[in-house]
Amino acid sequence: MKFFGITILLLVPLVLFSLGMDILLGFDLDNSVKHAFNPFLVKDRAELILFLILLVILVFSFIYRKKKKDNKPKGQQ
Amino acid sequence: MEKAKISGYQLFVLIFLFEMGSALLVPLAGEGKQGAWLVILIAMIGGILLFFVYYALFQYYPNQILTEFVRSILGNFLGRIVAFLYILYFMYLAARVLRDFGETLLTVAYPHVPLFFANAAFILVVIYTVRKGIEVLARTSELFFVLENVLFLTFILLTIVSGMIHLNNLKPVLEINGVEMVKMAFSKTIFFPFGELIVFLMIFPYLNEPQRLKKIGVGGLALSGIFLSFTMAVNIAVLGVDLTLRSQYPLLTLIQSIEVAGFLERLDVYFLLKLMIGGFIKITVFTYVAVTGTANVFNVKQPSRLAYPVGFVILLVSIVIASSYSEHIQEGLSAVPVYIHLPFQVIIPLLLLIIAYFKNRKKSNKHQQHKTELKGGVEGK
Amino acid sequence: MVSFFKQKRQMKQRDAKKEDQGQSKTVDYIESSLSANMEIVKQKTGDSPDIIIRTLKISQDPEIKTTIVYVQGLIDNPSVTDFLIESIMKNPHLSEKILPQKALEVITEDVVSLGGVATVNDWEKLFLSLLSGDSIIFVDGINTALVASTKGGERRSIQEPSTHLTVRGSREGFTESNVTNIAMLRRIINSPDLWIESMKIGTVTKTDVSIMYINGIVKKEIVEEVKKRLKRINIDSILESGYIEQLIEDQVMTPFPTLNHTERPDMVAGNLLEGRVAIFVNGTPFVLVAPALFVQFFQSVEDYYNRFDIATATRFLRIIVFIISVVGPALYVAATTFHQEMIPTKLLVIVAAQRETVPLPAVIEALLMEITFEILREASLRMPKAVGSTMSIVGALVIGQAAVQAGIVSPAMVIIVSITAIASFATPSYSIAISARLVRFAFILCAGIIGFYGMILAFIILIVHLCSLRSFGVPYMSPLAPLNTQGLGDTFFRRPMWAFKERPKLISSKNNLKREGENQRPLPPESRGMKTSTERKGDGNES
Repeated sequence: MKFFGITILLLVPLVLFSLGMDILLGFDLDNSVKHAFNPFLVKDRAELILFLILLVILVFSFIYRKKKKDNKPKGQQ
Repeated sequence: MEKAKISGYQLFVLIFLFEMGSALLVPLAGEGKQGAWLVILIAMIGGILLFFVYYALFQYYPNQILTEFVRSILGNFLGRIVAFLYILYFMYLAARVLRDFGETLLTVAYPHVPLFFANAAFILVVIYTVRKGIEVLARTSELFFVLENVLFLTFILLTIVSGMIHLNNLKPVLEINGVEMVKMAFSKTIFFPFGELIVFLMIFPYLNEPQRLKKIGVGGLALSGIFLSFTMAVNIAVLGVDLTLRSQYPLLTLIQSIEVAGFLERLDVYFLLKLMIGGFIKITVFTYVAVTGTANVFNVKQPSRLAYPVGFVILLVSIVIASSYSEHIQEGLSAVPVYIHLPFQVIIPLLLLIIAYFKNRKKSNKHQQHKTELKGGVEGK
Repeated sequence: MVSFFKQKRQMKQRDAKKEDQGQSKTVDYIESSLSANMEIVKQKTGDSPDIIIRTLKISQDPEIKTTIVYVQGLIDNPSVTDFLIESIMKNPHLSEKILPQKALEVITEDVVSLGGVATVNDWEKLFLSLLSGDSIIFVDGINTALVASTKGGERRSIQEPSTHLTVRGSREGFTESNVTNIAMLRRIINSPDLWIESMKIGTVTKTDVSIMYINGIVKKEIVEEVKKRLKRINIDSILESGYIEQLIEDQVMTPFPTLNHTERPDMVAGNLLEGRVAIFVNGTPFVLVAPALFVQFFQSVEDYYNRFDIATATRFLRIIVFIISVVGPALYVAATTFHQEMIPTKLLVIVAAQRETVPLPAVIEALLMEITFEILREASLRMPKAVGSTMSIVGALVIGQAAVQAGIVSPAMVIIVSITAIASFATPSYSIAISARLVRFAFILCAGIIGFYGMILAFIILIVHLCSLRSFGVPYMSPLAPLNTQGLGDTFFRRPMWAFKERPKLISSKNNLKREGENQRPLPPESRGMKTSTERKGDGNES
């Protein structure tokens, strides 16, 4: 869960930041949000599959860690 | 911090490749026209001055990485925030370079490949490397250093052999006057690529011979500056000012025009290799630094577990960062140096240095104890 | 980093388990009654017919029963019959009257005329000696047995090795017997510093494993590490040194070998003199050498026998060969699928014309041909020799010519695959050639998906992976990375023999690096030098 939190904590400011950069350059908020998420809306199938695989790996990496933590005391016994 | 040590030569190579990374590809200091190479050299001197600021900071806290000594200087709470900002800064830069790199790749060779795919493939390689740690990265860069130099030498040789260098293109050197040059150097070129050396504040403590750091840093900066300046000069000498400024990737245009003996031509793959090695080292250093920094700020015991999440975030940000390449470039040229590079590379380090100076002067005796305590803490981790 | 922690934890567990097992063992001792002992021997060995139990009577009044036990085939026949049975039966000492308690002593001191004699009193050691070819002498009423070293039996004689062939150099190859192999090394290195340590590994096979190193040259830590890893092994059987290799290597998930193996005594000797450790395993002619470095796999012993310029050229050739065998087909796939503009126009026309009729994309074509080749190679390896020639005809004609004529594959592809195949056999070390074959497929796939971009990514991963490997703590890519200028002279270059001033720093012990004296460079006789020629004329040989 800690890792999930960290990931979100890193992701959100960075996205906001790049949005802020857009606004700084003179786009309005609507436009820049649209711009930011454009790449995720227009994806062909292969891209989408890759994205989902990466996402699954990410989620898996969170869960995997949890399991390992559970294993730790077992291993030491 | 990892338990690892790198040698002076490895750090030198890392600095060199890092500086050369993406700067080699773009028309660096293009507005300097015929004097671009001079602007780069001036910026390099500025870069060395900046390095001394970082070096002075490092001198106060030789066993701590940036995110750690920020907390020693500013206190735990404020320090943590600044450290976190630095992590965001590194990740943002990593995302920018990744985007640059992916866009270049698509323009140069793969117009039909989606950007996301190119970036994802690349970041996976970076994640793999980051997981292996700094020692492996240092060793890898040693090998790439040789490769990069072999590529560079053959490229120079081929350019000379194919008889494309027209030194007249470099005249007049001072088309824009000296003051403007200095202005240009210190408002743009110094931040990219030289000021980005600040990430090495996260790597300096791994050096096994800290007493040589000054030489290594100055040497790395100087060599890369000379290389960059030389490449830019060759670009202009071959292509002329107009073409160099107009083309997105002058080096590519140059390489494409090489033709020797009727069969050594269309060496695009050359450019691709150079691009990827440079991009790889640069993104990996940024990502590695972001990972260790995050681990340090959030007290994560095993930093390598952060590699994938951090890499994933960098990938997402590299897509979100701009809707088109032109927007990306525009941001990079107008907003990033002033609003991002300037505070993170110059203002904050200077402030930190000043605070550190007073703090250490006040209680130099107490500090000794404090330092040893902290050292123990680091080793405990 | 993650893997590091994981390993550490596993190691801890292993150590703990091992200790448990050590404590639970109890020792069985030999009984004093002979018949009881014989019962135990028979029962433990399942009354196998090759275990010979020969009972003799010695002394008079009272007669003492003595039994000699040995395994047929494992013993040296003459020594058992002449020096054991005959001397016990005919020895004058034994025909006198002796006390039963003293019998064993008398036999040891006065009767048995063999080199190695020892006493044992526990069954485990006894069976270990018996089954490795020693003869055991029991005496009735004594709870100790005598072990006479009578190892022998049929073995393969020393022959020319079948791998690592050289034009110049020793023709001897290792055999399956550890004793012979170690002796061969002793013959080469006549120094008391050549140290050997033995241990038995394998709970069932009890295979004899010896490590050998030169004391004073080897790094102590490496020896300790090797011993530690060998002791950690807990497995039922060791049938070949490959078992050991896979159980003691630094990293498991890698296609690259981190231990070297060889059949040549001179190669082992050379490695020992650089401070490496050799691991001899009974039952195989392949001796392991640790630590192994990446560059080592491109070196052959012959490089040191030839002059340095030739050797250097050969080594560069091998590197080129290795690169071809890894990226050859991938390069073709990438160039024809994604980067046609990089092929010179005339060549492109030819290739395109050939590929016109081919129904498959280049990746599939390449994979198909590579797999076909691998099948051919594997089949010709395992086939009886008589069928081999048929195989090559079928392979060359049917697959080569017919497939091209039928338009299923393009001739260019056949050429590429053939070159790659030959290249992969030109690497001196078979183990690195196998790795190259595996890596080649990864490269083809990457090139097929996204051309040079994929290939360069694969290349970066390969380099990073190679740099992350270690062999017994020594970085695998050294002396290239981390750079060690002193070691560079024996990588892809081979410095002249007179310039081999020092042993490799990372491997050898630090306080004994010096290899040769000063001024080893051979010079022409002074009378031939330019300086003296003005003063003195030459000896006139040239006229």
